[in-house]
Amino acid sequence: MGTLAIRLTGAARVFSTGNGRVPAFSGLDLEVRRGEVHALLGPSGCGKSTLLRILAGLDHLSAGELTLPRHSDGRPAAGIVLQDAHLLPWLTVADNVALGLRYRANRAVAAGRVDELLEVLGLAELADALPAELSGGQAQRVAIARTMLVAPPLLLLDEPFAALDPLTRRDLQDWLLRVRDLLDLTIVLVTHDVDEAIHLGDRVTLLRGGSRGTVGTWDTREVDRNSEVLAATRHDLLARYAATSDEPSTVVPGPPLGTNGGGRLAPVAAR
Amino acid sequence: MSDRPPAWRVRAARVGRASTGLLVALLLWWLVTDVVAAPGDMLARFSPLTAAPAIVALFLDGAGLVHVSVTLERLLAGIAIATLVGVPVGVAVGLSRRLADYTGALFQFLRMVSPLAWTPIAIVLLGVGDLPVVFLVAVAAVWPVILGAAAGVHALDPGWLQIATTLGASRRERLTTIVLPGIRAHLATGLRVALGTAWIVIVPAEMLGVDSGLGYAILDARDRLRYDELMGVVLVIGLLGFALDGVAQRTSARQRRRRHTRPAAPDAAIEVIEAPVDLARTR
Repeated sequence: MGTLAIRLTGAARVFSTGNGRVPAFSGLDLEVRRGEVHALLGPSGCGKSTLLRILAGLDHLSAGELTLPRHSDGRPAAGIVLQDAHLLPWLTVADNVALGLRYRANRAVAAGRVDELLEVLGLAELADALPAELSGGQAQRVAIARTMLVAPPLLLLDEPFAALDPLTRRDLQDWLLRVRDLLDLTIVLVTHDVDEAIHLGDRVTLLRGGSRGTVGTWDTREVDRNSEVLAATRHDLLARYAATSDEPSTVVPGPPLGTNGGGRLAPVAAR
Repeated sequence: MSDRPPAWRVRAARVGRASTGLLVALLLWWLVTDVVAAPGDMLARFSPLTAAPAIVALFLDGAGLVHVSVTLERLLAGIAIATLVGVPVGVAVGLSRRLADYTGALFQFLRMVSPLAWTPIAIVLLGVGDLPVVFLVAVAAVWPVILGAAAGVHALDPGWLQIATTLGASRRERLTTIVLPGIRAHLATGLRVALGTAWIVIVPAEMLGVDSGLGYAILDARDRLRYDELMGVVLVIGLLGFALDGVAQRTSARQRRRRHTRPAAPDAAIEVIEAPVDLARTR
């Protein structure tokens, strides 16, 4: 760890609407390290999904700088998984996972990798099933497999577990962590669930509501092992999370946050 | 345990009711031509009792089969042209809001002109023979195909296109792997509507400038005062149309089942396309 996978400086995305120009976010700085799970936590409308779409190459920045690994054709070398699996209903699970192989951009990917990936991800038994026969959790696993087949080890997840029931969600979260270790992935996870952010994230960045940059980034790698620290961090994050939505939108991003006492983890790399 | 009757029994009951309806119609026909009408009356010449043997005679001497096969050939040629033209146009209109704006009013206008209104122009430009008939069938069939394809594009899940884009698909690859397979159910519905319209148009189209086909057979029977044969041909036209729609309906239903997509109501193919999917936007 240590080398950066993504660096974002002074990033802004402004949409032109009938009522003028509306920023999805602005003044955003973010660093994602190679090999980490980086959770982007924030209230609705803080622009976190827009940011993820930009990282995936589905949208572009209005201002600022974005550095991330790219393919030779300039496309970001990142795969995205959305809240719904969006599987093609006329293809089997195996064919859905293999979708990327039908595109010239991925001609270097070996066809044999589909079976290998299905095996590794525990989807081999479902290979011949149609999407309509899958549960929500299974469909989401297939969607992640489809992206991982052709994606370089940078995976963007846009609330991928939000539509699942709590038990399935927990199952899938643990599955994702195992897969991450197995395949050495870098993951950027967008979520509005503080517990999910702490559980999955090595680091958590809290985005400010009203599109005014970030509150800060918390290192949460160790918190799961220490219930006291977990409770404190969780409490801290929840309080700040709640505060992000209340701040009036005219407020400019505040100064770097200080260290919190009482065993709480101080935000690092805060601006 | 459910007390619902078994599927075969439900089916049998429905077939029974359908047959009863047909039998009642046949009975009414017979009543009008053979009981109400006086013998020797003009109406009596259209009796089912003479039409039925006329059909048999028509097919026994081979002429009936020739008429049927010629009509089906022209129908298929017209539908094929309508598909070749309609699918690309419909997909393009579905994908481009601008193109939809340019063509919307024009297509509505053209769609409302009866294909038969083009008959004189078709004959002047294409001469007499098969060509104008095929042309008129294609003109009739192309609109449901266009609208079906466009409605299919409209119903595509935008997430499919976005995912394909992030997987590295080019525009053309998105078209072949997502758009075309994704619109099949809607297209099947559009084709079914097209087939019905084409079948209605082909009979009058064959009444001009050709010497074969079911439309011609009706005029020919009239000219020879063979009203029994005329009614026989009308029955054959109805039966064939019924069978063709049955085949189309089965194909379309199979597409839906296989694809597990939302069923495309026949109306969906006739809907005006409001918000086309923008392929470019997902780049």
